[in-house]
Amino acid sequence: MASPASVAAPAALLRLEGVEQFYGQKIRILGPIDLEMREAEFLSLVGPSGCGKSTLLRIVAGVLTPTVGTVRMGGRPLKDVNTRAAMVFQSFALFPWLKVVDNVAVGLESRGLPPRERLKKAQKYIDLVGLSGYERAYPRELSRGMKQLVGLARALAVEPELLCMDEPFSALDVLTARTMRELVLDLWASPVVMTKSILLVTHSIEEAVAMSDRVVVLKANPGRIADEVDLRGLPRPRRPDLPQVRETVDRMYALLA
Amino acid sequence: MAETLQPLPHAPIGMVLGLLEHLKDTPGGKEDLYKLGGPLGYELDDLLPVTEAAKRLGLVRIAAGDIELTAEGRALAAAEEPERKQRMGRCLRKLSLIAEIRRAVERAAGGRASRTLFLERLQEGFSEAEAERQLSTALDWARYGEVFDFDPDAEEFFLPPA
Repeated sequence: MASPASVAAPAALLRLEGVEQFYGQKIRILGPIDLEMREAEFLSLVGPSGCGKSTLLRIVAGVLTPTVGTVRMGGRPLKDVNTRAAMVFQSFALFPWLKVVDNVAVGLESRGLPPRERLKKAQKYIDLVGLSGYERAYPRELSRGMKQLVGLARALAVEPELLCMDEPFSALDVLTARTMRELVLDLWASPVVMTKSILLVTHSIEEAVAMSDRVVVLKANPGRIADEVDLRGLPRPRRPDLPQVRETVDRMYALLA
Repeated sequence: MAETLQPLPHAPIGMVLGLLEHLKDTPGGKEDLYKLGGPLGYELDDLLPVTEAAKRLGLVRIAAGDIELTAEGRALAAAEEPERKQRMGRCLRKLSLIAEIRRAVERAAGGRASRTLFLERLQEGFSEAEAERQLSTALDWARYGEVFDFDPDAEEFFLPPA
């Protein structure tokens, strides 16, 4: 699979400048963080719990305003919720009283699409993630894996420039997670999916190495960038038993230790 | 029906697909069944419903302690959506419970069949809880393969739109 990020000198999509997050007046839990994400890049943030990786993702999504510093999306400072980004949550965050198709369409309403267009777009992404057949099911009728597919379809349906994923596979069993990782990579490479930039938060080094163009390693107390590893030279698909993949994983474990 | 009906193993369809992908990437396409749990982080017990489901669907062969993909299993693992779904749909229709529900829906006037009817018939052979689980599993699989759908408000099975 060719990486969409391999095109020459893509522009910065997202830029964090001196971002810091405080708890109360004095306790700095995150930062300062300086980070740039390219257009069409698959970037992962890894680190131990308490390193602020989920906080960082919430700052990027614009649901949390950093105490200090600036977030820029396409060069413009982010003032409010980041409408050019969409989020996939570890806990799925579905509306239990809505059927699958309506859960997927929910973000389209706030973007001002007329009902017929909403349904058409929702159906497109339901088909792409392999959920067709489940349109009229309620979340409670679905396995955890299927629930997360709804979360993914809902995020992709708004055709965000940036897809943020917060530990999206960690509530799933290993076999389901495996299928979903492959699906996300297929969609990322697919010409019919508009979203080409992905920011993944994970605690799994194996997952980050299997998926990303670049991995940013965070340290805790306060959360800050310890290192970053460029993986664009690592060929895809990256089966975990390939020697190059295993070496990279080992090297990353050493960085975190 | 209940006498001749083979119970479905309770495995989410997503795990069955994950198993096929794992085997597809296993060198030689074959794995010692007792080693399968290890690399996936499972106890063998937890995997048995998944391997059993794949076997009943004709997607894997289990012999002499080895598990390997059948030709159909290989084709399905290599396929992308919607082909994957269509292939799974064909495999699902070979399972008695799923085939029965599909036939009932096709024959019913108005294209709808009551869930209660199947629940009662399943209870001739299973406990009420198990009958419920059988229908849940059948529905999870059938929805994936688009063999039939379910309207939870009316409690009726129906055919998914073509």
